[in-house]
Amino acid sequence: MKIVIADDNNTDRLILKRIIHTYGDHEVFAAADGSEAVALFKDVKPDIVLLDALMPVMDGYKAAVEIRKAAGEELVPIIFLTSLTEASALARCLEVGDDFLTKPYNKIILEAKIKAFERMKHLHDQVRIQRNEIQAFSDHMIHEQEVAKRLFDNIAHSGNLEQKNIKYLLSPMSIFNGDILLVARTPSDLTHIMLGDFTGHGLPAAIGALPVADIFYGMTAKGFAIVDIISEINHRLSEILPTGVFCCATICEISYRDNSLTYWSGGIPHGYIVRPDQGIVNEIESRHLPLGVIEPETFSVETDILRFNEGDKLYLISDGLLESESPDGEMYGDERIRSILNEQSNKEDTGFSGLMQAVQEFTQSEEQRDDYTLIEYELNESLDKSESEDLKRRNQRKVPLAWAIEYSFHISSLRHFDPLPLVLQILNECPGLADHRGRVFTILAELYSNALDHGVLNLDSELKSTAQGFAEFYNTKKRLMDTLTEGNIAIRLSHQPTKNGGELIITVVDNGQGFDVDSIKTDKNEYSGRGLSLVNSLCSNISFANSGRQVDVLFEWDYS
Amino acid sequence: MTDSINLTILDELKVLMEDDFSFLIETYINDSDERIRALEDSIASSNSEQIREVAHSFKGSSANLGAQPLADKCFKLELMGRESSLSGVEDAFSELKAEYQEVRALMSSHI
Repeated sequence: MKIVIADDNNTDRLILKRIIHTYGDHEVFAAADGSEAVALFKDVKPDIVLLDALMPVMDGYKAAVEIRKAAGEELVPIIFLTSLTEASALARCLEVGDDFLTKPYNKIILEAKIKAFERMKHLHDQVRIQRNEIQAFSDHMIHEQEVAKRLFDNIAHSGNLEQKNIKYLLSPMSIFNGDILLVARTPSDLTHIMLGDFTGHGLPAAIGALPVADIFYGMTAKGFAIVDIISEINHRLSEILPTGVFCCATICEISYRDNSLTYWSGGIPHGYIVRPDQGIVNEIESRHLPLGVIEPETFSVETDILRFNEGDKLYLISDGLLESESPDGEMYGDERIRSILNEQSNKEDTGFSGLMQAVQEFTQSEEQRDDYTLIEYELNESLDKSESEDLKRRNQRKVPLAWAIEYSFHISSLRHFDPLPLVLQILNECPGLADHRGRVFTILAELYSNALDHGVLNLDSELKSTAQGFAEFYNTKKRLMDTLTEGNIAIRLSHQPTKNGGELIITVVDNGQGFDVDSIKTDKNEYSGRGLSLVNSLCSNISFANSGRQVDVLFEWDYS
Repeated sequence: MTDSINLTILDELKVLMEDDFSFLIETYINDSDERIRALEDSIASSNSEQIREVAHSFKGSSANLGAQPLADKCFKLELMGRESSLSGVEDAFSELKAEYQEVRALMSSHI
């Protein structure tokens, strides 16, 4: 340690300096008066200062005040050295300093005191360092949370929450308490609503919210059904979320054309459907485990469907509402929500505000506590329609309408690779058509397997009619796939918009030997065999060219 | 006249100060000679405040070097100075001076 001592008495100073140096192995700097001591303090930044009380030029008391000023936040113990014995003089030492030592010096007491103050200073420095570290961590965390919130807002803002038939309350701190509320519309005018509640708080919850919003909006815009969206969200969350973090959620798909509400709900409080003058007519029940719990391989999506009429209102809530506490610590609970919704059902426009007001009265909080999420969605066809026309206009500018694409696959790639998902990918980029991708997929799958089995591999479909032949068919197919060096299949998709939808022409060409097309033609000018009766039922027209090596299928679709 | 100095204290100082012991003693003697002169002056001019200050310092260094009887005599002067009651101050000073001569001689022989 560095120690500054100040004593105007030359012999005292010599002795003191030597005692401290010899017994404590400290570095000692000596001053002969108070102002020298202050200058020395600023110069060497000592750990402890020993001051004689009475000194010429500047006495010890004054020097102590100056030194404290110069030390600032640093703790520098000041010990007074004095031969004064009156209580008042000693009290003054303790007022401006930390301790005193009476002359003549006692080596043992002197060293013990220096040691004690050394420990104290060490402790103080540690506390100060730790406090600064905690402050730095805290600043850093708040900054990160702000960044995360901005990021999340950017992704989530594209939703349709501001529609007139929606009322909602989403905690401004939602990203940190893990609530998310997403609303979007498919190209075919279905409304998707998701209310999610991540376990945990802070960044882990926020991190899960980002991909959920991304998937929800991305897939809804491309026309995917909620079943697919739920599977995808579950898949992604089970990949990224740590054990013990998952997302309780209700996801609904509302169709004003069918007056239906399809839902999936896992781990979240009941939702309610309230009908004017009837009160609660249906409940959205959680019948599943939350998202992100079950591995994708074993996760299956079963949805339920409920009647949802014009004027019906859907209420979804997060558990923060149920857990809102009264001053006595009682929770708000399910029963109170039911009675409010039943009570308010015959009044216009009051379910949402009525519920919020009731909760506020119950908790007796001055302000809305904002730690829960609540949405009211009213089915209103005219509003829905006008919104959807806006949306369609927006979408029409963005999506490709007239396009064609061709893929060509050599047998060496077909051996290891199923080309159909790649081909289908393009359909997802075309709203409206995406709704029909199940049918398009079936058509493509049939045409492709014909081109491969009967075209490129030249296998006889008659073989499959007996059990023995069935096995032989697949053995031969496997052998040929592994050994064949020549063979090619081309798939072409060509799309043109029509007034209410579009025309998709699917062409599949193989380089096999072809076949007698007339042999499979029926009286009604349709085709049977080779899976073509199924294709017939799904499309508007089938035609063959190039001795059966090329098949063209016309698929017409409308915005449903 | 070893009563004037506690030799145990002085020996401890010798061990503590090692080579600097003679320097310490020389410093003490120089300072003390100076203080004797200062006391003479301040008594001549009846400067109580200065008597108190000088006697206080003299007392401190003397006690530290084991010259307790001298320190006591310094304290007597310090009190007179503090209370500004200078009657008998000359006698007290003569005693102090005599005691100091003893101490000075003993110290010098100890170097």
